[in-house]
Amino acid sequence: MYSKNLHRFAILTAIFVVFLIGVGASVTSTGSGDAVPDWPLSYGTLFPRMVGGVFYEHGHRMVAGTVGILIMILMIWLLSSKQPRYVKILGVVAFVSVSLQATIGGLRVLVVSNPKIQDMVIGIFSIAHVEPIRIGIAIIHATLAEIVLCMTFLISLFTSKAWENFKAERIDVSLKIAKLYTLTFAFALIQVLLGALVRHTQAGDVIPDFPLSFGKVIPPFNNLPYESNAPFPISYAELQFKVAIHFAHRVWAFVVAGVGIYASILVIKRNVKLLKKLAKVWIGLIGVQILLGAFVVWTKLEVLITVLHVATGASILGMTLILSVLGWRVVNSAVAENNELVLSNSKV
Amino acid sequence: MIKKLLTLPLLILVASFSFGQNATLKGVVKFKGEAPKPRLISMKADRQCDAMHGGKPVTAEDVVVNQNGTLKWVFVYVKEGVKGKYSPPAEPVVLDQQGCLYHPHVFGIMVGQKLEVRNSDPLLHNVHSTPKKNKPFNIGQPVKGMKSYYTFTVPEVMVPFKCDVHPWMSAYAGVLDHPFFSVTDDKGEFEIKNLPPGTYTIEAWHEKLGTQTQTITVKAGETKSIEFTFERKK
Repeated sequence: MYSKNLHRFAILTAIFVVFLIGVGASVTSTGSGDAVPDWPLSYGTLFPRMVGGVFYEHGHRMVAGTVGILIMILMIWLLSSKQPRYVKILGVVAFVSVSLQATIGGLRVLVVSNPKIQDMVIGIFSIAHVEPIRIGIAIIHATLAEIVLCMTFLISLFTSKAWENFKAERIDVSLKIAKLYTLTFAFALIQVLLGALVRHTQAGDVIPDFPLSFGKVIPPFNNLPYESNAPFPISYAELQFKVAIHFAHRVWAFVVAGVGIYASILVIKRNVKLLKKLAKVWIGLIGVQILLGAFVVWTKLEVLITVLHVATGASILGMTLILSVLGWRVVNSAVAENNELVLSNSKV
Repeated sequence: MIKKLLTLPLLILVASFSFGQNATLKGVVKFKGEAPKPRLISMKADRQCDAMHGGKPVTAEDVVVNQNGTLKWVFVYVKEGVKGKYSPPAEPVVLDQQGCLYHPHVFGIMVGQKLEVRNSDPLLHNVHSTPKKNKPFNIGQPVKGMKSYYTFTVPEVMVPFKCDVHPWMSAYAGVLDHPFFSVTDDKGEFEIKNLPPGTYTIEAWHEKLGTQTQTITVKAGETKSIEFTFERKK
């Protein structure tokens, strides 16, 4: 049952989630993740002095709190509405996920600042140092944020009028489009994970040039510029790993773009209005995203550019999911229409 | 009783003799090439910090070339060759936060020695240490006069400290299981005393310019002079 206000609220929530992911990226980019050592309070208060790194970290907590409240309202609204059961379930899952996300965010802070939690984590994983766990938690936190975003994007779609009034098309092409967008979504999710890995292992500036890598098409993995007498030297194997994930993130971007653009061109050639519009936006976004990625390298991780790169990446992931779901909706309605046609023919 | 009376001066004599037999390592760390312009820190992110310096520019301490062309804040220490065990001093090393800067910027500390971190500023700081071998810690010090204590358990050169509230604040600690270390001063000089005779690898560490090593041999009672020269990476 379509409700204009509910749909608008779902869109507002989705926009806030994109904003939150951008704010989260600004925390990482400014190195402010540990500016507030306690959690859930900040320096024992709800509102500490908003200066320096506290501005980013506590700001992130405030925006996250707002998103949590918005998703809770959305869930309650969905549960009390006449929306289909699956939309209601999605609302509940989104709320549980955002609550889990907040807890993981808190754990990421406390694993460094709380000696008891640090010792407990080291004990559980039987490791010598907490750093790999800290990075792991940060990557999980970044990835779960994208999953929450996908849920809010889906709720926005499922509560829309367009979702109710979707028309079928030729089944053969539709199936191909649906499969291609599903593949693009899976690839985009891998790309988001790779991006989180690049960011949280400080591999963002390990390849200093773009589009080439160390002046070559493929980085010279056995001849990388290595400083053994650097102030804080890393092993050559660690350098190779950082270059490898950075390079994989670059290459994979073109894989995502290639499959997604091919699917979008197929959509644009067809006559499904909503899909066509979204496909055009998708192509525009992927172009902007690759350009932003280039500027991230050229500006040596400039904060605003990096934040935009992360937020655009999240939006692309959410949009790809919408396109994929819409693609399958086209297939399903085409199948239904086909069945009706067969039935009416048999009656005749 | 007479035996005890005789033993004490004898012990003092032996101790002072062996003390006197140890060597002293002196030296200077030079900077080659044109000195970089001092990097100015903007403290606008926290107006209280900015006000503490009366709006005057504050220079960063990452590359400090002294007037005589030498380098300040270079940690010089014995990397290899030390034998025996050394107990840490009872008095703590103090790392103070004053004027939204760490004092000192580079220091040495022994394993097991107390590190006292003070907040002398009337505003909040967090003290975030990010060692690779020791346990990391992150302490909030929101009030002036707060003190926190920490002890390192394994040697590590170097352990970074940062304040995530004020990203320009940084300090570095060289953690060693012996007392043979020094930090270059306003004249680029360092001095390591009481070094037992032997052959050692000496390393000079700078936060931006990296590390350099030299192998030296010192004899009993000798005062040896060495020199390191760093240059800017191209």
